[in-house]
Amino acid sequence: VTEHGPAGVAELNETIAGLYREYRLSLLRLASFLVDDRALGEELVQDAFAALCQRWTSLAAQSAAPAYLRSTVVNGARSARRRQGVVRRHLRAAEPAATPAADFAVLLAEEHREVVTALRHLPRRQREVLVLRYWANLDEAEIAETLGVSRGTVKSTVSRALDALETTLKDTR
Amino acid sequence: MSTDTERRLRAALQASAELITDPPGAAEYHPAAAAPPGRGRPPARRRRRLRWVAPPLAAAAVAVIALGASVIVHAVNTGHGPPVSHRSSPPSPAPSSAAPRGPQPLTGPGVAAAGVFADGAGYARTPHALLWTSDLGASWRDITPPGLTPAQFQAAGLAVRPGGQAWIAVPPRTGGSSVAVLRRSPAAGTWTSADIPLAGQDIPSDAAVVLTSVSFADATHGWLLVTRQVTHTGFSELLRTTDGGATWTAQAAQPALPAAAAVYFLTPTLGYLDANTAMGSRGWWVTRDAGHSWTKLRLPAPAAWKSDSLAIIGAPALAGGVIVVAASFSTPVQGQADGAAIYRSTDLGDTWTVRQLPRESPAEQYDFAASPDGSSYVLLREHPAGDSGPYTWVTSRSTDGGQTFTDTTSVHDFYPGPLTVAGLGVIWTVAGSDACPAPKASCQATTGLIASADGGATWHQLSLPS
Repeated sequence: VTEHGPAGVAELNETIAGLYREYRLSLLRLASFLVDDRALGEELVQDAFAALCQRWTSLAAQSAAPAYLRSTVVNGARSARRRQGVVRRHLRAAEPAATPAADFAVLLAEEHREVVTALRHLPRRQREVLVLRYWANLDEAEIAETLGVSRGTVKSTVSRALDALETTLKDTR
Repeated sequence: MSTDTERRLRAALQASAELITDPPGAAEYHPAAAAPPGRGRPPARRRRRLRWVAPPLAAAAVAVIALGASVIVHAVNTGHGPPVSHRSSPPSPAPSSAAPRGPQPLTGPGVAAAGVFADGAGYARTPHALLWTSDLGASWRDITPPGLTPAQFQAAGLAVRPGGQAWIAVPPRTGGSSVAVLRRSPAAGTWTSADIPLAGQDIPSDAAVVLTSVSFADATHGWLLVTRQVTHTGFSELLRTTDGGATWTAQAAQPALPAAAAVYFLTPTLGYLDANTAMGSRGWWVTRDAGHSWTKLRLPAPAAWKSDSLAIIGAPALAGGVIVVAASFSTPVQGQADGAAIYRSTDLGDTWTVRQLPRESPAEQYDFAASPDGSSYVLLREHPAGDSGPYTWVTSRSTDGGQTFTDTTSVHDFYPGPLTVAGLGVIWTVAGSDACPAPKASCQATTGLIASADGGATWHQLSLPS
């Protein structure tokens, strides 16, 4: 932001504000699906927008901003989930009563809760590709760009993830 | 083949998304310069972990913005003294270096924090007890203060010094306005309690989570940080004692003090605040006047790294009279640490020398510790194969003040946590396991105290009394 003059700053703020209004909620949902924690998801989204402000001038084009935000949220979620997992598990072991309760899954209908629970038990990357494919509605190329992997990897990971999900859901019946 | 699964998945995700809604005004954008706390923060990397700021606690319904809460569990101020001798017979069998049957849980009571000192003494904090050892964990003694409920004990800040001096700061009950500080006399083996009145921030107590952190630079000079957190806002105040905790005086409060999670004093005047919290603050802060005034800690980025990607690993340490700080570097897009450096200052932070460690593949977890005598620096990294292990630990150890590091690799069913180093290869870490025996079985969360006596070549779990 410091690279802009006063007029540039105002314009940038307006642009970012527009992106924030348009993408905040979908990014929050994406983050929440990946970390199972709305409050943490809020942080990830805030951090993504703060990073966008800092990196604005290095974006190839303004149209790249949504993809940048999505990548930042997914990567942030990956790190946060690891960190969250470590801390939560330590907390759960040390302080059973302190386990976080901000879990949207408890309010879901049974049939949906089964799916969300099964999704959460998938390995990290399988879960990421399924959320990006079936909630964010990204195609293979977009998922590959978001995760920094090849399209082939996306394709095979989606396939394996669906198989694993299907197996788990059959077993729960 | 997957059509039905795909349909169910889409429906479940859509139903979930509808439960995640925005409160009024949430979509308003606040430019970073004018942002309220917790909004539009600068993109400083979160510290990768440990000094343990816990994730948000409550929020029973998803339509309500969750209260963030933090629990601080930290090991403080390892002491000076002669190096400890190598122990050749571990108290319990070494864990397997391979995981043929998938991750296995750690055994024994959970461990929240631990520390080892140069004379072979150490402590471990479990959910219900504070344990003390004088023989590197071969045997333990219960030194838990009487009269605390489990909830009070678990929420309290803790500081332990060599010899068994200890302080426990119990946050006030709902509506309360004082912190109970218990201090242990190692000679008598008894605890004394004092109520420390707080300044009384204008915050509804029933809406706040109160965090306490205690740090002692020596046997008499100590600091108590009390932070009240309300959603994404925090209000901290700092108190100081110069008589070992018998009396405390207010030292600083906002706006001079950022909302912080933990305090670390290395000398009677030099201290650091960890402000990497969900309360809107970021970064580390430093004082050189015993806590009266604080400035943001700024370290020079090594060549080719962006200064805004710097994140301190662990906490600053005093090692052989040198201030030592380890930091990781990352790129915002990749979101993974991909480099580390060791900073040293021989003039208490006026100037720094930096030595960059070789670039490596991204690691998920980091912690760093240096022995108080300066004989050993240890950077412990973890590379997971999956979300539940096995985990490859890379222990990088320097015995020449950070000039050169030797890497040792080992494979475990669990991931490392907070690290303390006592010199001559003695390393303790609080490790965790998230063993999931089957894809849809409940994951078993366990923690344990893992020790090495040979600089990280081999590790074994220390047995603690239940």
